[in-house]
Amino acid sequence: MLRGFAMSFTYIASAADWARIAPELVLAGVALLVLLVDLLLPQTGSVPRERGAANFFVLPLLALLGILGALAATIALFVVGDGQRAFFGLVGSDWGSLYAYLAILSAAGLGIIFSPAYLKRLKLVHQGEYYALFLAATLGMMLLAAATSFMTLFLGLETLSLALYILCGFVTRRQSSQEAGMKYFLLSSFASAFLLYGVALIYGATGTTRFGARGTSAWPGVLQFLQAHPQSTTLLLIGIGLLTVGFAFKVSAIPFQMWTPDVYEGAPAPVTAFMSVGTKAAALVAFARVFAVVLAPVAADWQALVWALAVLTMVGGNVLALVQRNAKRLLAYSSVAHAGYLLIGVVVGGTTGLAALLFYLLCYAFLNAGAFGVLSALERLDNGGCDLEDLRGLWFRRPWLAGFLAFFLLALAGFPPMAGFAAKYYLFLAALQGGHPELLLIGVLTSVLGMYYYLRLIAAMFMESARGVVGEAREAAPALALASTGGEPRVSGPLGRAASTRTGGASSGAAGAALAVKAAPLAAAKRVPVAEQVPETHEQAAEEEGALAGGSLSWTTWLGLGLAALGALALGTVLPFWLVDLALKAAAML
Amino acid sequence: MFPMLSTIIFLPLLGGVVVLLLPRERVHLIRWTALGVAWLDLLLALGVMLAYAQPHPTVITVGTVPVVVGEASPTVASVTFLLQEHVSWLPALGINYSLGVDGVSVLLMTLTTLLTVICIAASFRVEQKLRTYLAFMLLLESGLLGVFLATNLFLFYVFWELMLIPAYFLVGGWGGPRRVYAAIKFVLYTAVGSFLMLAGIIALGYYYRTGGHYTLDLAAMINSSTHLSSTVQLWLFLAFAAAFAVKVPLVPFHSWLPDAYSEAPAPVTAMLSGAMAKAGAFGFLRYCLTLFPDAAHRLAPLINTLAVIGILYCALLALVQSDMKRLLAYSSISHLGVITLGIFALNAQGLASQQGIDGAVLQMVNHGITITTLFLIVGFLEARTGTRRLEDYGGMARRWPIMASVLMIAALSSLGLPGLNSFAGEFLALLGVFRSNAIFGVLGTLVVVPAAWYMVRLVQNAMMGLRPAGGPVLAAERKGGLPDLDIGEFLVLLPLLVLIFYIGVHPLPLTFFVEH
Repeated sequence: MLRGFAMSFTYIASAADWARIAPELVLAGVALLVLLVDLLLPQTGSVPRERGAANFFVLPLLALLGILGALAATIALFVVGDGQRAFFGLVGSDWGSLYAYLAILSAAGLGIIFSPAYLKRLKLVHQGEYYALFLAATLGMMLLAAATSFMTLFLGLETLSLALYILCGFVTRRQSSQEAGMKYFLLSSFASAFLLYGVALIYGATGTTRFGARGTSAWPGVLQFLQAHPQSTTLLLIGIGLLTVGFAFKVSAIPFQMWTPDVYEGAPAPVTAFMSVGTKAAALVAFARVFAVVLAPVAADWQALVWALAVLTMVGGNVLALVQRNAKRLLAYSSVAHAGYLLIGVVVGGTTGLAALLFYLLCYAFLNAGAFGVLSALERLDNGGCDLEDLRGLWFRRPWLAGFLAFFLLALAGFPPMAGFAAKYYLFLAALQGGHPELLLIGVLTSVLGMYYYLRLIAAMFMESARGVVGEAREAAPALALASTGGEPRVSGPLGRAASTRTGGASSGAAGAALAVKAAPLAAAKRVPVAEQVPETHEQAAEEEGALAGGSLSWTTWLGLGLAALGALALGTVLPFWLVDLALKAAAML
Repeated sequence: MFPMLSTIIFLPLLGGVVVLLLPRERVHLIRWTALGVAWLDLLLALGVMLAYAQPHPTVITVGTVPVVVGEASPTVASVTFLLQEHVSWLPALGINYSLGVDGVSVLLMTLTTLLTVICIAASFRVEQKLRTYLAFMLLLESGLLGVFLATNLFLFYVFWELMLIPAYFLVGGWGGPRRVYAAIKFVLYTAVGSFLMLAGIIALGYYYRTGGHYTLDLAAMINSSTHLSSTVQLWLFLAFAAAFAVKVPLVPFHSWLPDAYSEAPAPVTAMLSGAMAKAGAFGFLRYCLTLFPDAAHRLAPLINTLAVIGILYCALLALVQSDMKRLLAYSSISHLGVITLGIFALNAQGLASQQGIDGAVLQMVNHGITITTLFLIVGFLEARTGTRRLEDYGGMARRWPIMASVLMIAALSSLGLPGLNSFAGEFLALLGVFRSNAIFGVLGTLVVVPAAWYMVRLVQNAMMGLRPAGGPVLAAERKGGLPDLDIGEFLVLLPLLVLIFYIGVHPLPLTFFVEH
């Protein structure tokens, strides 16, 4: 300690230091700008604030520009950056961090694109705060991913968490949203405390909070200490254990996943789209950096622990997802399962494992954000609209939306040629290369479980009747009567129960058509002329206050879905040319 | 060089996208576009087939395979891929975009394109979500063609899974009342096998690495000096066989098939049984035999036993089915057992017999033709009467002379009447089996009895005998009459009938392809 006091501490941050955190700076600046612009936007007069066109256009555009600016800065750093650590080895600007930025910024960008339509539909005000918090959370995630010191790591973690607590509870009129925010806040605080105590113990054991870089002794840290003293002390062991708990909570690994489904379900869907990817990416990169790089000299002490976490998460996440009846909860558990696959990368470690992890995160960003993006278009104010019952027959009502969701689900299930397959392939290969064939086998077999629930959801959307059995019977009764008495009963067909009607009554006709769709078998299809045109009126009748107007989606949602789908396809087919190489180089620099 | 094979694979995919973009009301345009694309693809495939049949000066010998051996000379024969296309994709991981045809895949490719044309033509009655249906049909074709033409294992797996997606949607979206159950069961069974194969492929690339570089190109692996130890071969063989055995299917893994085949709409069932089931047998032949010869030798008795059980057990099950589609489904499993038996007719040295392979491949084509005819006829019956139950029919030959004749021809072909197509294939395959193992040969041949029985039962119950006094058939007749095959339906079946007779009389051109 005395030595520390004796050292004169001169704080000289060079311009190069600032340049190395350019993406973060851009984000921070734009976040403040968003708040300022929100003040300046016209809000007076008879136009209620949430109707103001400017709020729905200027703010998201500004936020998106901020994301794009950060993305541009990231790419610039890839090209011209020196990859050195900034601020006395506290923040990294290595390619590993930058690669994580790509995933985080992609998710944030998609989340922002999905937001305006959602906010408009739910009539949410306070948009300035919304986008500012969005950007702040992104900033925290980037900081977490780039942290090369336990202090920066905790700073990033808290920045992202605090912003997300508020965002999760943003739908003030919905109890589940507030519950999500509260739950996330309480449990996350616990986890942060664990993490912080672990950091303290590790500091006690090693005398430093800095990570230290591989291959250089410029900023010595924990890594250098452990290389010099590879035998682990009790203090260090307890510290590692507590760190594991903290990280496992953040990446929602089993048995620390309890908060995930509730929070993902209650939070606004665009926020879920963003946080499910962003938090995971940031926390996993930090996890990987701390364990697979910094604590690598004592790998024998933690490897079994993380191995068990990975296996538990893979199996448990997939099994728990099997029984979910709500699409958001299902995707939440699926994200738990994916965290399990990702942990394989941490267990395997080394350049291959980390590269696979990074590549998987980038792919996952597009898949998961896309899937939640579709749900953001379906979610209603009371948080309904995402149950399996609501999704039944979605294809007949909104074919494109159902098509997009099916696309993302298939990609998550790991079907080629989408990104999910490429990512899984690479990760499983890394498991084999790293000498863990059992992880390859477990991963492959749990993927089969995963396939079931994704396909189940797709089946509900594409292959089942338009409404739940009870509701349908009630609604369809008049239509049936109409069909069998007034209309032309064109009954017959293989099933002998294909009923269809041309009577174009408003809602009863719609219900009848929905029934006809359900019953229409292939061979009789030529006698079912209305099958393709289930009217949108049905949708409208069922939606309550705060629902979609006109049944059509805002162009922004389409843009987001299109981008995510494009990304998912490109990442699965053409981009691995160099993205995998890039991930390899990036992982070597973590 | 013009990327002919890529064109053949991706033309249907492109056609599917075009079909999706057409306006919904232009039903005729949509149908004829899809059919036109399928026709064009068939013509291209025929062109490739003709080119393959020419004596080719630029034969590229890519490797020697110790499996396909001539009867006379015990030396190893070489396998050639023609029209190769090769684009580097992820060379460090051994992943390349490489295509090529050999004699077997050229036959199966042409079969697939032919069956697609026929099944799309047979789907002209579909009206519900027509564009999506046709797009999925074309996507299915793309996936199947890719499976037959890929020469890189990664690419092969991509196409293998790609064909599963449209099949899932086609069974689940347009099928009968239990379609969701059938579709999910189908995909889950297949997925378990496929994922195990994926693990196998990853491991294979890992074992075939040289100095940190992986390879998954079939040619490179066969040429490689790396010899897998027999334990590794055993596990990898089992991983690959899991996927193929589900797809074929072999008996303990077959329970998805009757459900999927009976729930799917008839043209889709025809595609599944006519073309997709062949992908499994093709996988055994192309990958299991060439990549893991030792393991194939060791496990051949196991596979053969399963095949024989499948042949006899499913033939017996077919005897007692009252649902015509289920009857055909079980008969299909039984016939594919013969094909598997032919493929795994290895002799004492672990070498495959030429006759076994010849017969198996011939039988793949023949079974594709015959079973498609049968399923389509059942589809036509069902469209008229709304029932598939044998008991509901009877004495229909008087009313439907043409339909009855066509069904009779297809049934006779299926039971292996000499002079029709299936005879030559089954005979050759079983001959190969006899040469390698008489017991399996005898057991396999026993199937002739139940096969004739269930087919005769099908024809007799549906077309001969007395008209039932009531039931759905009579009801349908009272309502709108029961027309015989119309000209469109007949034209759909005509090419298949021609092939049934032509191959039956003159099967040599097909074996030419297998042997060259």
